[in-house]
Amino acid sequence: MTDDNKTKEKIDKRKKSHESDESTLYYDVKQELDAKGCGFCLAKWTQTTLHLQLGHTHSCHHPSTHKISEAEIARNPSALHNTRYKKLRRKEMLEGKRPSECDYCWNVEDNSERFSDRVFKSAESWSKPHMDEIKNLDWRADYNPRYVEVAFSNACNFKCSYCAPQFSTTWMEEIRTHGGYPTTDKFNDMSHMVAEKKLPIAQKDYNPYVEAFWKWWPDLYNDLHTFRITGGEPLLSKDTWGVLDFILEQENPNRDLQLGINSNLGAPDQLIDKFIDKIKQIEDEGRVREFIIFTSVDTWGEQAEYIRNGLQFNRFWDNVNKIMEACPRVIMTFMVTYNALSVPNYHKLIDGVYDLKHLYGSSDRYWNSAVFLDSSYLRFPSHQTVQVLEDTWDDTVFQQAQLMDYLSVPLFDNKYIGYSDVEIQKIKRLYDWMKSRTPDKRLLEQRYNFGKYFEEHDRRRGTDFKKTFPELAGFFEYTKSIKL
Amino acid sequence: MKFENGLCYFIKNKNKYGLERTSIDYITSNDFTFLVKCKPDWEQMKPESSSGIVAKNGMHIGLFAKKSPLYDGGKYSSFIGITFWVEVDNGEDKDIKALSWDIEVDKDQQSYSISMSHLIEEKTIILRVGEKEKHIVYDGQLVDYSNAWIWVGAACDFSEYPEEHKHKYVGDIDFVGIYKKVLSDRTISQIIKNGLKDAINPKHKPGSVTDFSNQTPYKVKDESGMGHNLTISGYDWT
Repeated sequence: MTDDNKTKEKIDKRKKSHESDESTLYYDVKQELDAKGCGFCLAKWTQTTLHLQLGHTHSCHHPSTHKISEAEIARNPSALHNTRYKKLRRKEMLEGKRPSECDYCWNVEDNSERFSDRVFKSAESWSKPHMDEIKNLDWRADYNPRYVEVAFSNACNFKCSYCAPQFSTTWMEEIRTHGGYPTTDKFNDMSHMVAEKKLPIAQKDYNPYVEAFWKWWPDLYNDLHTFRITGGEPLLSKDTWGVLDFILEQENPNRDLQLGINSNLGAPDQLIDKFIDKIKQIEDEGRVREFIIFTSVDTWGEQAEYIRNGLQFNRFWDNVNKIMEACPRVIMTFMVTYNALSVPNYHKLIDGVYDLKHLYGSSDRYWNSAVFLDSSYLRFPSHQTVQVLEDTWDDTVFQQAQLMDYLSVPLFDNKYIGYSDVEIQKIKRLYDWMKSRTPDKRLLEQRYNFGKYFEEHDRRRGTDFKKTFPELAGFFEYTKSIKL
Repeated sequence: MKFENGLCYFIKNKNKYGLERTSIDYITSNDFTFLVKCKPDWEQMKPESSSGIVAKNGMHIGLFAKKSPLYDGGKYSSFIGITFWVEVDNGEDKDIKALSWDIEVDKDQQSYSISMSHLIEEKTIILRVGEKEKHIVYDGQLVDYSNAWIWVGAACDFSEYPEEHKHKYVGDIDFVGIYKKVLSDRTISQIIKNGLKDAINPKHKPGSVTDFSNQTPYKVKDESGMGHNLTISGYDWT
């Protein structure tokens, strides 16, 4: 055997050992889950999202949300998560059945060799350690989740083009004034919200779900692995400040907590400054394991401002820098809702975030790369997805993925700074999805809706699509000319 | 770009994210050209050594700078050469082939333009140094290099390899172009004269091209857009 062959053998062995470490974990978890039942999934106990402004919850993001019973939470505030509805799904799982609401995973398991999210979520560090305990629980038992996402209110100073009234008060005002958009699906028309009892409770009004949360919180807090506040804009909610103050007041804080807060970083200056003070105090006193701010922007400059109505890009970027400078241990994730309007100038955001990674990379932080770019693609509303664009734009996205690859670290490790595997794979996946468009009637309708939506958007909001997106001006004209 | 203190780069045979527009793993199984602009630091090179300028690892194939043993009076000779291996007797045996040009060391020389081209049908490998050209015709076929990586500034740098087999280069390399085509003399002259503007022209079938003007701490940008950036060696990932 030559030296080269020996080397190759060693490298192959090393690669295989990595592969097997990972797949063995998931394989073992699946075996353990299946031993209890083919539909058993720990996330039904360990994870929850609470939309308190709506009084809705779900465990795992795949099933639809369901209504929380006011009567239940009056007796038992943990019924925000431990709803009777959810307990019946847990019963099915413990009895070897597959709840139909989890069909996303059943489809994956029945139609591919891949592991489903049931396995991935059950293998997470906030799930797996509790496997034995949960297996032996009675289905009626209450269980404190370890991974909690909560929205206290829909109060928001932005009305992002793809968002909805249930998540934004400014959207709500606009729809109340002007009604739904003239797309074929009446985008953001509120009648379905009334029908589905998803009308949000205004922040100023009494909210029994928020009240129940605060009753449950002292008991929940110490069991938490991850707690993340979403919205609305959390900095506009008094309950966000309540959570931060609670953590600061504890004699024995949960120091293992991973605390995440979403923010558009467009709140008034005094709130941003107050936020920085609280973070600093929490971090300086070691009251959490990790503090992550999830912020949002979808491309660069004026085009980003158009997509996220209310955003002042330069002020946003200043606030990012202000926080990263003042809080030397905080991690910032840019949650991108990559949509059709992101495409022309996304490379500038890739460069900008790369500069931030270098500027604030430090071994004081949990990850040296202090800033992450999470490029998730928009799926709804379908008229604004990347698939509506002409295929001549596909290559631009490919080049953006290549740019991230060039700016990447060859090995994701704390000590190296640059884009990671996950960040690159997400934009590559986005590109693959973009290319999978089918030129059919549905696409034509989506393009028609694109034209209708942004024409009305310009009229209502005083914006100018063609001026802001000269690269897409021709496409916009084309979409406006479509007759269905 | 100064190559010293063991600095070298590699190009993997596949882009791990599928972000390549053309594959280069089988590049040596077809027509190809390696084109570089470089200036070896003959003084710093050890006598009787050979340094990889652009090469694939294993049974090496590529462009090398070579220095003879010291002659009487402490003088040495310098060469630019190519090395490659062929399978003969239906793969039963392997032969090493080499070809080189003597280099008149001239301290005022800016840099040399050097190329190695493979004409698969003619079973010929051409070495070009400046305007001078030599070729070699081989029997059999080139060994399979599809699993090997391309190295710039070495012949390989896997941590498991003994140092003497790495063939580290010392000196400047200002341009590297990997092409899936035999470039004509005229094209080579144009690329050397005009730089990236001509070097990345798709009609030349570039696989990876750089003049080292765009770099991160870990990578050198492939300006051809083909997705084969150069990655720095010598870290945990090699």
